[in-house]
Amino acid sequence: MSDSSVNQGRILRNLMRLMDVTCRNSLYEVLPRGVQVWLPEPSLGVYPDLMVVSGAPLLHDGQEDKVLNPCVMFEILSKPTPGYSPEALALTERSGLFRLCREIPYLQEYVFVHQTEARVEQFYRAEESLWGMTTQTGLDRVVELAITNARLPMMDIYAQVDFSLLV
Amino acid sequence: MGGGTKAMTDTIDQAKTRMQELCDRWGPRVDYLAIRLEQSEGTDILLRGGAVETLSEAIAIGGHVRACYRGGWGFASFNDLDSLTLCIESAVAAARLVGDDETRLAAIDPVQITQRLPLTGTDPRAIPLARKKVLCSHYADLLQGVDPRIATTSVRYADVAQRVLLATSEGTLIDQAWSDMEMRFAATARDGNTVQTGRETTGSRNAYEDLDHLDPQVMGAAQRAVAALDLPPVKGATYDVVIDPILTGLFVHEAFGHLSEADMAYENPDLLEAMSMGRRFGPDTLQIFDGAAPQGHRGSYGYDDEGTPATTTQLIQDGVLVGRLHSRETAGKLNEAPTGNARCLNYHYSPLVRMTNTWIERGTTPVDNLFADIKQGVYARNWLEGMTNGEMFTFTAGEAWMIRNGKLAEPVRDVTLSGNVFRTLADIEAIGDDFYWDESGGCGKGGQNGLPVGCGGPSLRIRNVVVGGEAADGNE
Repeated sequence: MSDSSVNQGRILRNLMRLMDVTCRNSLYEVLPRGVQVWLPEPSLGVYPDLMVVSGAPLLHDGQEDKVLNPCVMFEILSKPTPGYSPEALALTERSGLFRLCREIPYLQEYVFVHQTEARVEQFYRAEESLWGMTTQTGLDRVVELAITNARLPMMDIYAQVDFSLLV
Repeated sequence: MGGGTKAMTDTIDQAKTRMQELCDRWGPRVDYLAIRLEQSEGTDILLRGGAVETLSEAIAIGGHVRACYRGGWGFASFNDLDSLTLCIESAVAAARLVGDDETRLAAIDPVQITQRLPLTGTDPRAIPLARKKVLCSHYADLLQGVDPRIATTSVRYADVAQRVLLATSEGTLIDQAWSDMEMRFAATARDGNTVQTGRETTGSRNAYEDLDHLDPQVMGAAQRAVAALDLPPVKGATYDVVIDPILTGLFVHEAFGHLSEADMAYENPDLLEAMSMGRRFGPDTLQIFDGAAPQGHRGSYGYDDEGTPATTTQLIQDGVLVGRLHSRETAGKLNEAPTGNARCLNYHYSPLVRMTNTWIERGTTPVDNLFADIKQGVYARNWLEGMTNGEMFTFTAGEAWMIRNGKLAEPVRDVTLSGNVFRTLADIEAIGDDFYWDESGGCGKGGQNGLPVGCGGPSLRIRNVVVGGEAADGNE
């Protein structure tokens, strides 16, 4: 979290604001960057940019800094990444973090937020071991998170973000 | 049958007449009115690391009302029969508020019928919860006992008996019931930093006994996880690949089948164009079907959740696209015949266009011959994980071997098969003469996840498949 760009910081603040409003007074709780998600196998801690926990945080061996049960995770991509194309030879892995986190049985959605353009890629668990994906591109679109019933206008996710800034 | 269930059965029986009366009374205010009432009785068990995380039995009753007026839909759900009239009022009012066009529902013949999908063995409701838990613990012990390197296991059991009543303003009154069962097993093996997982899933609409004698199958999941610890990763490249019937079933359902759902195409002009009738997708020998009419599979039923009779729809004939899957609305809008594919997970949801049992027809190539002439390729069986994005897919094989000079060679791990579904269908080189129905399928769409489906197919030989496994970047 030490290397955030200004844009990354703005997106994170916006997401936190939007998700906190959505989840306040609900069963869900938003936890910001800095809280560790613990992966029991392979005994590894990871730090999402933002996560949502359903109900009370489940802690690994009662340790307060090791959350086991995020249901939604956000990752703000630090570098420009090409979008998925049907012309591509293969559906490539978006990030190593996502690959690891798919093993979390509680995880239902993993959301990639680009910072160099208004693009959000949303992976959702369609079945226990099957993931589907949708992309929203452009400031007039809305990201919908089925699990928390959240509607996140892209205009608000990218509020004050300056796309002319280099990462 | 417990007292609660008996009372509920009486309630649902009494509701039948009332539902029809209400449809008759309120139907004239809209173009179409449907009341769907559902009674369900189910069990859920989840053991993680052998310890109970979920152990529950539940009975529920609830329903929903759908109304359509000038093409606009109103929907309301209820879990208290006393609020049925209020729900109808609310759905009718909503439909009248949003409807501003034309209602175009493909016509069906109204039907009055009572239908029970027959079990071939023991009804899971006759088995006490304690015995189901013992079965889960037995399988968890089996998984754990395979090797000291098994780090975690999970065993999930679910059964549900559903009875569904559907009454419509067109005079349909259907009373259907079925039982569905599913078990999922996973074992994770660990050696130092290497972690490997093995999975196995099964399901049935036939008998509890189908879940009762799975020892070799369950142990297989743990054995594959342990064996993979010592295997070399596959060298990423484009290979000729042979896949087993389970992977074929996954491919035909996940990669192709969802694109055949007319609601997806109707909402996406590019997809509608890509899925043009008459377009060639594969070789002359390729036949693909979907249908709830074939009996005994996870996606089998008599009538869908709009009262359309189950059918068998040929999607691809001799390699050419000839059909797609419909609700009454998508069939009406596209001027095609309804196919009986409108399904909802439960009363909280409206029906969507869903697959039922989806399969590729058996071919004529002896399975051994599928490997012939492949100088260097990959043979993949079963699957661990899948991901789809429109036309693109990635499936991780459950186990895999290299093929060298037409013969099976050394086993390898981390085999992901990736590609574009249209190119992959065109690259099918040979269709095996084997066939297997995989009854493990649960399907997710629009937040309605875990809908039972059947998937089937033969082994396939496909050329030019991108095989790899490593992440595009490694920022963990």
